Amino acid sequence: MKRQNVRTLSLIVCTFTYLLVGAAVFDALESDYEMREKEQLEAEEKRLQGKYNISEDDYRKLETIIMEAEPHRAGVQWKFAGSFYFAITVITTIGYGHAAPGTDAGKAFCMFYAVLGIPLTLVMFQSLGERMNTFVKYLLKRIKKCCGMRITEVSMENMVTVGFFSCIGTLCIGAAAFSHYEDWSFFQSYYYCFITLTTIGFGDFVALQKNRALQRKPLYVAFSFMYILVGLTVIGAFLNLVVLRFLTMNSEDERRDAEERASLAGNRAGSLAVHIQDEMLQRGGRRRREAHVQHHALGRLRGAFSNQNSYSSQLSPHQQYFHSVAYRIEEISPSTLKNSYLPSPISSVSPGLHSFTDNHQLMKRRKSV
Amino acid sequence: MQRTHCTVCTVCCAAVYPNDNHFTLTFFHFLFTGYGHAAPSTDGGKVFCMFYALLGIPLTLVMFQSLGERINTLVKYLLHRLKKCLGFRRTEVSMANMVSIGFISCMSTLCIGAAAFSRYEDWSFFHAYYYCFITLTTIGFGDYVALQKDHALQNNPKYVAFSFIYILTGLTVIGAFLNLVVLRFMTMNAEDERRDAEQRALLSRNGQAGSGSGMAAHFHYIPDPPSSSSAASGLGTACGGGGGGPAGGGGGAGRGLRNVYAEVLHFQSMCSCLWYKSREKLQYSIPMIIPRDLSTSDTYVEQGETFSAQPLTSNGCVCSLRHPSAVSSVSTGLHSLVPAYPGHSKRRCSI
Repeated sequence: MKRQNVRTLSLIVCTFTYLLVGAAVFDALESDYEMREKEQLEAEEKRLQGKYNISEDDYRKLETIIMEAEPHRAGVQWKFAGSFYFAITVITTIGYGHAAPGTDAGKAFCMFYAVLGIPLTLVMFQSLGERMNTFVKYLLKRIKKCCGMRITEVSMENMVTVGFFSCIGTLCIGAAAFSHYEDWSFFQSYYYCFITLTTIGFGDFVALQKNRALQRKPLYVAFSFMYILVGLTVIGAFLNLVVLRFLTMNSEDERRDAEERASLAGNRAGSLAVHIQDEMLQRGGRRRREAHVQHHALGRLRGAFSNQNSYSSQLSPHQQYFHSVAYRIEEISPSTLKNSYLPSPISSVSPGLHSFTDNHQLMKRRKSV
Repeated sequence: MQRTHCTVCTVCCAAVYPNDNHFTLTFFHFLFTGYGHAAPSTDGGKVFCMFYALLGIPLTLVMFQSLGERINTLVKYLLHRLKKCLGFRRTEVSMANMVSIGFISCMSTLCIGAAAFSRYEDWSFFHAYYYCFITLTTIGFGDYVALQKDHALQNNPKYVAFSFIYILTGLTVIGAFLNLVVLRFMTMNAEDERRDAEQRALLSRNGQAGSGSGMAAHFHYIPDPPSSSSAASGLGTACGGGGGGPAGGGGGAGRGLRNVYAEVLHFQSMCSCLWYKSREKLQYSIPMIIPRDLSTSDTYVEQGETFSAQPLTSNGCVCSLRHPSAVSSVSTGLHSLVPAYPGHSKRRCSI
């Protein structure tokens, strides 16, 4: 089966397994507590009904009133500050639900607002996250130089470590701040920050809902908004670093397959490659293996070159061909070329190869994962 | 989509909470105000929820994008076959085709869900549509939550199954559309950065390599194959990927150095040819991308002396295959270097 199909199917199976495991664990953790809470509530309900002689209907009405009064008690939700907060929850898809549009017009506008806002926000955070990663990479490199380390290259592990610690740091800063302002425990604040910054946004904990903070504490309001947006950027940067490449894997493989098919289809005899091939085969039996590899690859070059008139329909076969040749040449490696049969022209060319070695990783079929 | 976990998690939570009491659920629902109609109350539940989300969200993101890409490929294939069957002259599936189909499937998914939920949950069609929209974009306010009436979670297994399947399928359709339209923009910065790095690297390499003026002589070492002209012509129209190159850096001293750079620019002109070709395919894609690319390829087209006199061919290709020189036999090696450009140095050609 095609690589992409295997990958997709395994991901589906993994996700479903993960769902089942999660369900089982949540059940084990929460259902007892829920039963106890339910019993307590029912007991309280009976007691209240008995004490004040409230009928069942009235009690239900009271319940509804109390529940609907909750957001109003939390403050004015739809003035500018509250609406800004709401808009943030929409386009970042956090969606607490502490305030949801009540009018039909509000609902309709919310939908159109989200259709444009969500992709815009997605792209913006990824863009900003990538800039941050580049900046951090540059800083790390300078630090490494200053510290006099031998290897000043910033590896992926370095970046991931720094990214991970910035995420944890962001969460802890937010937890400290919100636990101070909202009178939550540190753990509850941390949980709130986590659920917010992963954009899950249950709404069981929502900031700016106490003591009419939205109206009375503009500084705290500003801090909350800034925290959410900056935190989402940090998380976005980490995701950009770690996860984004996986999102494009299938498309890249598909593109590569299409190129391969196209180049194979256009494979016809040409004489150019024969020369190079002969050159290589002549010199040094120990290079024969690599030469064979090159020959094979160059065979495709032959085919590509001879197909002069059909390039318009074969947009990227050369890319694929080039990818594969580049891959092979990497195997041969500049160092082997230097002391190989090929004289200096190639070796003077080979420095250029170095600059592409990191691209080979991209051209090669996704070995890494 | 990274927020899909919100819905999935909450649906999953809804499934596992032993909800034998309508009262409890609605009470908790309003208390917690959110599609967090069920959110972990115990500390252990909260901790597990955080770890669960840490692994689950990227997994779900990647899964939906992966599945979405597969669906897009299938749709593209089907559309291609359909066009063939219907006897269209052009059977290529353009981006506009894909985007319209994606958009129409999203709308119909929302409408199907709206119809179903308005019937089962006694909501108006508009409210049900609003619910589906808020769910499938993973915002999940929780002002409307399915499976919360009449003990549906216990009494109506078929409806429960339908709801779960609807949410997951809907998220896939939306994910496929996002994969088609939005994903490329999320990688744009990284690709541009990579291309800039390659250019800098190539500039510095050629700068180092260009210090010896005897380079041109080296290039003549390899005998000039008679087929090189055809090869070069093939190369000319071959058109690797386009991209800016060290056009400015080729200044160097001596004819030999200029030859090297001429060759490099030649290959990059191939890149521009490919770019021009890809532009044909780009005609449906977002126009704002194109002008930037045009300027990029134009700059080194100007600076390349090798093709200064070349008129544009019908497809806009400026490549020529002029020198069947010794360089071209080396060029096969260099061609292998070119791919680094096409794949990654093009500014967003293959939209």
